[in-house]
This record gives sequence, C-alpha cells and structure tokens, in this order.
Amino acid sequence: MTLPDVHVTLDDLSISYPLSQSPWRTEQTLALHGVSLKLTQGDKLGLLGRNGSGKSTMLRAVAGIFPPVSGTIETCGSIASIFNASLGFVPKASGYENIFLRGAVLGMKLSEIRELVPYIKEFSELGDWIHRPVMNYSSGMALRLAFSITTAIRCDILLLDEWLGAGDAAFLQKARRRMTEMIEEAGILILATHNTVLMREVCNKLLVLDEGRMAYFGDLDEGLEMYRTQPAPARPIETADTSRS
Amino acid sequence: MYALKDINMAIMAFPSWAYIGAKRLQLEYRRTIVGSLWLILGFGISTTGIAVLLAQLQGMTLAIHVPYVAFGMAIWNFISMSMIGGSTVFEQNRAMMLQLPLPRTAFVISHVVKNLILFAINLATACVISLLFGWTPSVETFVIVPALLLCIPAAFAVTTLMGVIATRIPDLGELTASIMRLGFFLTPIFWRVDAPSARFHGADQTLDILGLMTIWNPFTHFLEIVRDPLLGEASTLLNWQVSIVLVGALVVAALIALQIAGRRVTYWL
Repeated sequence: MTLPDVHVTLDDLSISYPLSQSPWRTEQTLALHGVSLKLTQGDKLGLLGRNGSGKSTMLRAVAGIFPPVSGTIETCGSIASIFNASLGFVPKASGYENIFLRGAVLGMKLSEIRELVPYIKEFSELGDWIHRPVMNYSSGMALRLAFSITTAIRCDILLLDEWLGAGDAAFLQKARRRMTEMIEEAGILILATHNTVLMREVCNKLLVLDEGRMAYFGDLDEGLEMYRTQPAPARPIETADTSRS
Repeated sequence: MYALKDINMAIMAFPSWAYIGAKRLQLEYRRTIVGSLWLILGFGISTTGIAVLLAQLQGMTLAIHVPYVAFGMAIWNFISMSMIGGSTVFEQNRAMMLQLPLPRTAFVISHVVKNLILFAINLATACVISLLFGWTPSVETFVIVPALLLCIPAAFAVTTLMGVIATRIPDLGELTASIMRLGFFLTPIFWRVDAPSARFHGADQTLDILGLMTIWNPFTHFLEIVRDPLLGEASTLLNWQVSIVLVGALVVAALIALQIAGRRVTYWL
C-alpha cells in the first residue's frame, strides 16, 4: 500500500481581509494575490518579505485557518504549527496543565498526552517551573514550552512563523537540530523569519513575498543573493551585520 | 454542508472539548483562598438573601418562596450565561482560533459543558437551600428530565448563534447583556404573579400587566418547564409549546448562521 505523497499545493491563491469592522463597509484589503506553488517531501521553504507582505497570512492559509477568497489550497499530510510563543496558553494554568490542554485541542487522548510529557519536560528544560502557572514564565520559557509541545508530535508539514530568531543561542541550536530531525522524519517545512542565517542552515527553497505577490520562488542561495543585492527597503539581519564590519 | 461538517468534526473530539470546558471552570477560582467553593457560596448567599427579602415583600411563606427563587435563579443563571457568554465565545478563544484550524462548534462545546456543570452545581445548591427551608421533592420532580434535555440543544443553539453574529456585530454582546439585565426583573424569578401583594392582577383591573409580562416573556416559559417539576407543579401546555418552538427556531437559526458565516469567523476576530 502506497501512502499519498505529502504535499502543499497553492493554486492562484488570494486572500483578503475586511478593512473595517462595520458590517456595512465591505472594502477588503488584499493580503495575498495569485500565489501558486507546489512543495513536496523534503522541501524546506524559507519565507521572506517585509512586514505586512503576507507571510503570516500565507502560513495561516496553509494551516487552514483562513479560507481562500479565490484559488485553492491543497495539502496532504498532518500539519503542526507555531505562530506565536504563547500558543494560546491558559495563563493561570501550570505548564503541565497546558500540555494537556494543548494536547486536548489537538484531539489527543489523555493517555497519548501523558506519554509525551517526559520528552516535553526534558526538551523545554523547565524543571520545576513546569508546575508553576504559565503567567509567571518569561517569554523565553513560554517559547521553549511551546516549541517542545509542538515538536513532541510527529507531523508531515511544519509551519513556523517568525519567532525562532528571538530565542537564546543555546535553545536556537537545540531547536534547529530538532527541526532538522522532524523534517527528515517527515516531509515539509515552511519557516517565515527575518533571520537569514537561520534560513540558510535549515531551508533549501525560498519564497519572497512583496505586498502579497510572489517576488521570487526557487532555490534558497540564489534567492538570498538576489534579495540582498536588490535595493529592498527592509534589509535582512545578515546584510546589516556585514555592512558594519 | 459546512455547518454539519463543522459540528461533526467537533463532536468527534467531544471528550477533549468537554475536558477543556470543565478545566476552565476549575481554573476560574484558582488563585482565591476559598477556591471553587465560591461557585456554591456565591450562588447560595445571593439567592437566599433575595428569596427571603422578596418573600417578605410579596407576603409569601419562606417554605414556598425560597425554593421558587432558588431554582429560578439557578435556571436563569444558566440561560443568562449561555446568552451573554455565547456572544464572546469566539473572541475569547481568538488566540487558539488563529493558530489552528479548529471547528467553531468545538468552542461552543467547551462553553456549553462549562455552563452545564455550573448549572448542575447551582441546582444542587438550590436543592440544599430549599431543603433547609422546608421543601420536599415529589414524584413530579422526574418530569424535569425532558425539560433538562431540552436545555442542551437550546444552549448549543444560542451559543452558536450569538457567537457567530457577535463576531461580525459586537454590539450584539452589549444588547444581550442589557436585555438579560432587564429580563432578570421582567421574568418571574424572584416574584410571582399570584402573590398576595401583587397588584393589578385579577378581574377588578382591566389590564393585567404582570400576567401579560409573564406570558409574553419567552424566558418565562422556558423557566417554568424546568422549575415547575421541582416545585411539584405541572407546567401548562403553553409553556411547553413556546419552549419547543423557541428551541426549534434557535437550532435552525444557529445552523443557518454557522453555514453562512462560520467559515470566515477568523477574518473578523
């Protein structure tokens, strides 16, 4: 029996947000316009673009959170995502309780969640803090817990949005190694970040979004060169560092 | 159909969503000294106070009026929380809804389960208070079962309907809160139409205001089908007719709202 191949296929995808809360004003703002691409097993896509270029929107669209206004999204494979460090944590509950709450949200049985707890405790390095309320965690701790929970679960498609760059160096290394493991185990990664150093280490393809449209899609190294030499308003961190030395 | 798919997906993971609802209730009083006991104390204190006061004002005996008020308040709290809480159910879960593609009904399940648990606790507290004031349960009490069963689709429908509409039109939340505040007084919860001191009721007046308020208030009928069995009385046919039609209409409206606007709720959060 052959399993269907893991893939993410976008076909002329467009997404727009309502501009005003008022139900009588129907103006929309176009966040993604005509994005088409196909990712298959082993593709690790870096997502680059200025703030507001549509990266978060695209990730959420692939995750199934925003239904397309036009065009189609087709995914095959289980999807896991971290879109911000707090991950919908319940602040008054302890880290330990939040593991169960998150597991419940993901549709896991209590016994399944219990099996994951040792890995999460160890990977997050929270120690006794895991039994303290999440509202008392530093943002770094919350991030470690969030990442540990998400990577405890096997998935075919992993979506990460712009937060990994904010972790401390030691955790970043661990995270990178774990991500590489996960992707080798499974299929597809989409990582949106401004940290091009991280991107070079993890990704093999690049998508550059400019105001919702595809500016570049293809090999990572070529794309980063092109992005760097272009007079783009937002420069990646890498460029800023080298220009100072 | 999207609405049915959404409901189905949520129901398949029902235990998880029920667990989350129950957990949220447990967490609410976490940092207080008294803790979850507040669920009983809070209800007990206000209900007993109101019941005793209104018994005096209305010339009723405590043994009759305290159970009347206690059960009425438990039921009203359930209705009120379903309606007001329903308006904010998606907004409250905004973070999670923007992270994962979750069925809308999932959050409805959590909210309804939380309210049902609270309803059960309030009813139990009301029973204890009533027993202390001389109430005795009777055989008719079992008629409460169909009434309680009707509460469940009612809660689901109201929460879904309010939730979906309030995401687009947040004013609905404010309006609902205002209506419920008023409804608390206009519905015979702590007063009765046939109390000795109730004025303008009966044949010597042309306009039976209290009676009209009672009959034309949809909440009254719903309240009575749940409360009457507990007091050993029989609800009128009208009570049941109005309640069933109301719940039926709410269920249909909720399905329509979910079908039309459910998918795009995340755009409005």
